Amino acid sequence: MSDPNNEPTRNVSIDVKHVTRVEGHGNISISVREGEITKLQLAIVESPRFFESFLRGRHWSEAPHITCRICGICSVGHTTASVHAMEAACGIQVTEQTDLLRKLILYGEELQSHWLHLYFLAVPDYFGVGSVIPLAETHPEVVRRALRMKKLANDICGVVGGRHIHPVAIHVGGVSHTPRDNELLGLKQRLEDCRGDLKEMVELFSKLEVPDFNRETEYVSLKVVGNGEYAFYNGDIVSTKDPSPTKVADYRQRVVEEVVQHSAAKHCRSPSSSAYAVGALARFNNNAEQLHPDAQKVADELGLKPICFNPYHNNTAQLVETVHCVEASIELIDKILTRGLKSEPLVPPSKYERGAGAAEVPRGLLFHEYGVGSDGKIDMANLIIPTGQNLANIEADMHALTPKLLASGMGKEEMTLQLEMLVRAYDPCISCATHFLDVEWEE
Amino acid sequence: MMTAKHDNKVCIIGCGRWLRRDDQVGLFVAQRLEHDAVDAEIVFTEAPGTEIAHHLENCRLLIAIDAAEPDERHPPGTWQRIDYREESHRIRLRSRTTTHTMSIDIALKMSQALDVLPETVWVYAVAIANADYGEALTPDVGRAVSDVSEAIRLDVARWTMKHELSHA
Repeated sequence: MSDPNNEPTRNVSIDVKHVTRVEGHGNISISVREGEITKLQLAIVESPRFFESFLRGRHWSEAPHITCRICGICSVGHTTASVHAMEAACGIQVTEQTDLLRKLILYGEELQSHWLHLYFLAVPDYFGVGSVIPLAETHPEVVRRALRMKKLANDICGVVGGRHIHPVAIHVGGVSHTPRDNELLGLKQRLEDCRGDLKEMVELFSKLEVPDFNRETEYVSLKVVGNGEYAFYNGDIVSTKDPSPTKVADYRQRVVEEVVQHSAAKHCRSPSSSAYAVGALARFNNNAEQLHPDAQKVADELGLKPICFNPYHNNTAQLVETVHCVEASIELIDKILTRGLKSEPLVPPSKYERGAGAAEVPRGLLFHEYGVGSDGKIDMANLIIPTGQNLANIEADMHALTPKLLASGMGKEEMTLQLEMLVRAYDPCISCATHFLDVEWEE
Repeated sequence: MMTAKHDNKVCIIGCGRWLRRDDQVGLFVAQRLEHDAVDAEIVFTEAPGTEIAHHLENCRLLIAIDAAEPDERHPPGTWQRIDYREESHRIRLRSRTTTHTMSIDIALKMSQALDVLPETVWVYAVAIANADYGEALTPDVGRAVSDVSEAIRLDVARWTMKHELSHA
């Protein structure tokens, strides 16, 4: 890239409808006139889905089973945030066994989502191919490894949750199914075997050239204060600008939602910043010292150090997190097998009021909040999704990146690719789609 | 789960999303075939893109059933069998691949690129009407479940007989 301080002088219009290899429909629209950005938007054109509305009037026990349907990739994450929120609202304290199993299935989801994103959506950019299909032709070993690793992660979710997406065994107050010892031992063996695949994956990513772009922003995530665990399952809210912990119950002190005209999804800001980021890089920036030592080693190998302000390194942080999740899952299975599993009844509610819960899901910090009336029916719901929290930050990145790209003398096509890669690095999930065959019917 | 004789493994994959009304049609057909004890490995998947390749080892006939968008002349409930080896162009590849949208079209193309696609691949496409949240299929699509299941049962029997004879 040439001198970024050069004054951009070109007129450029970029209009990407829709950004590929992200979930849902998002458009990039940029206009530059005489070097000035006259328009820059990441427009979300999906229709609202009204989950918060149709939760109202439903029984408290239904919340996780309804909200897990928000997403086919983060269904465990939604389930986790949902049970946390509803258990807070209902005064439920679950058992240690429940927490251990829920952590294991959440690790499974982090693995399957990160591996899918890295191999199938991010890697094609770096190999200069449009999708995973040409990648399967040119690098079949990479795609075979990706499929193998994805299946392992799916199976973790299936063994614990009863299904590999939309788990049926995780309920408010506990779990309705416990895995058999031999199932857990089988997963443990496969996780140990997976270390070789992970090593090759790290080698692959160490050779990829990550775009050089930095913009200071605020990174927000959960943090477990005290016991040293890298926060996925629970913790308090912290940020790189304000590391003092805030309880999830007080999440509105840290997250301000705002409607913007050009987007069907709300934007979020914090009290400290007009935009902030959540996700793997945010977790890494706040909690790197709590990663498993093997994951810290991989971060060192890949040159990732906190606080990293390069959003393209969200992919690197995802890879580092998968190393952590593999090792943490192995340790967790050992712990579960040592203490033994037994059938436990679901813990019933002791009150009905208002409660908030959170989880770190693959794309970042997810909040659920419910109010439950005296009849046990949900009377209020608020869900704040990671991608919604990232949208303002992605736009701010695009504002900072566009002049640099212009100054570099880059062509429009390359600029568009760089901007799309930026959006993809956040691994956004704009909606969840049901998909059909597009068939040429025969007369 | 049963495997056909002489390593003529048949794999039947029902694709769709549970609780999304007509989008479940592939899953319902696969359920019917499982109930009828069709001699095949029967797989139910909500995420075919990354799952199918794991079931193709030693497989010589792959059958996939999925919901399809209707058109003016092919209303909901219409179904057709597409011989993927001969007519892959009839299943138009979705331009968008995401972590959430890796459907059967992507799975087949990827399996072909990885050289694991069986020698015979039939896709049964069923035109649907409604993929909102809900358990029930719409009436026309519900009626198609029996027809498609019966057609697949007969197609598998014919294919198996032909290939068993060829081994005799």
